[in-house]
Amino acid sequence: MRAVGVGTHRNSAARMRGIASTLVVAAGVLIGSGTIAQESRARTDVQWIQAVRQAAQRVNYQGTVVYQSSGEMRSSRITHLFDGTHSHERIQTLDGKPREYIRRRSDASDQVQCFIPEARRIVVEHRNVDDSFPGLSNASPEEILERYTLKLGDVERVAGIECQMLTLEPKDTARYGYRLWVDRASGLLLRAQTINERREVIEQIAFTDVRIGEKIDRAKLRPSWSTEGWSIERSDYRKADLSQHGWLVPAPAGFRKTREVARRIGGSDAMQAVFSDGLATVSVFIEPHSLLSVPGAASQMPSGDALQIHGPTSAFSRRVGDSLVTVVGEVPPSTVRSVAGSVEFRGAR
Amino acid sequence: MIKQTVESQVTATSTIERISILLDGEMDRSDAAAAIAALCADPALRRHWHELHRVGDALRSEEVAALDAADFCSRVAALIATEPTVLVPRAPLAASGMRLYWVPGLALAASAAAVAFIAVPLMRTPETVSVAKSAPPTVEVVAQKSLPTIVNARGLSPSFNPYLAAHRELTGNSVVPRATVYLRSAEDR
Repeated sequence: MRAVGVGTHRNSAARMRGIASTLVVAAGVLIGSGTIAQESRARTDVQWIQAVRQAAQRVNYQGTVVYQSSGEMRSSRITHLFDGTHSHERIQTLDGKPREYIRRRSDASDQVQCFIPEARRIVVEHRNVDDSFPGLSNASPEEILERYTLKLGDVERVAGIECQMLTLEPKDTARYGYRLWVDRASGLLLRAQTINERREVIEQIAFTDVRIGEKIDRAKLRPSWSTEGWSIERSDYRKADLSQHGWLVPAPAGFRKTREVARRIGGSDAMQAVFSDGLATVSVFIEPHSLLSVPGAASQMPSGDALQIHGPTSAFSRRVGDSLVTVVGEVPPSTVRSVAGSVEFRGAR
Repeated sequence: MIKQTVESQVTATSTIERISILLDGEMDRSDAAAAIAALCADPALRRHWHELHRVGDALRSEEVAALDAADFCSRVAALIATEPTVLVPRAPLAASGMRLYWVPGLALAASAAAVAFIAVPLMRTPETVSVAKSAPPTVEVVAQKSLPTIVNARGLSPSFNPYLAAHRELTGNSVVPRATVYLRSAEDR
């Protein structure tokens, strides 16, 4: 199994470089301040969150990641390159069906291609900055810290690298907590756990081996398959205003609306509102008149008032008149239920 | 010999509809008992029953279609014979559309528990032992009494996949890596 003894199989040159850069930073701190300061002490709470965010976009890395949830385990290979303006990321699944995700992201756009070899199909997902609500793009670190308390934990090794453990404890029960292990030198997140209210780990993602800050060949960011003749499917949605259609979808406490769109969901027209607290997200789907339009459609859809939980994901469906309201999010079950319960139809304007 | 086969085929034809009803779980308890007895008694009928399942399975998964069915079933049967019985109370179902997925879900819950058991020690590389001890990854509870919960170990009910994909598309810009968003649902599509 790949995960066994990965720490010892790491590229020794990369480890030397890691140690060297740590030494350089440590030396810098010594020379700069004249005192023996811990790197982790040098960052404030806000700076830790900023460092993690920046590193995810700006640092080159490649490695193997293991994801665990609900007794499932999946591993995948991740390659990430920053070219000065764009961040390029390729994820190859190593278990189950072969899938590759290639993401190209800049400050203005974010596109992901999903490759499905057995169907010879590419699904293109995109998010443009102008799709998001004006002025409601990313939550600032300060906003995150309004809803979570950041605590510094011990220094622990992950994938052979010294990491600062951080805990983000939720200030209420509407959201889960997180434990993060961050490479002290680069700020790269090497391990993350989602924690429920009983302090159980309900989801975990971790590098088992990683090489940080090396030059990455562009060829490593291309898909494994020649995709000539593959069909391309583009996900399609457009900005919408749910209130204009008579729907009142209040934001759950400590979340704010980041997007409202109209789209197709499994063959029917739907509206989607997305809420975020900076870490967790919740989507509300409304399919107007969906239970009237097609005879027997109700049996094809999630049944009314059904709660489902899978790892960190909770989903709840509820009928409002002849419409189906479905709430999905990486939040506790009580949150999706209360969000679904707060959706109201007030009649079209 | 030939005559016998023809006879049983005639029997099978006359009960094909009843077999379908049984398969869909819509037969009365008393009728079902009779139909199951007929199934047990008639190899041709059993083959038909098996065919119907294969068609259903093939429609849901292209890999299953490629399996050598006869050999596959006997191997699975042999493996099941060596397995301990897992007793999980069957929760009442909210929607008939979920029926075909529910029973496999339970079987997967049992195998998922096995995976977790194997996976946890593997995650304990020497440097992470202390963490693993203080917070062992847990397996989701199969059924919760107080809520109308249907927990599917493999994922949410397949009817939720389009919602998950749409949710995933418009989220993921946070501290927790976006890769998580893909790995959560690696086989949705």
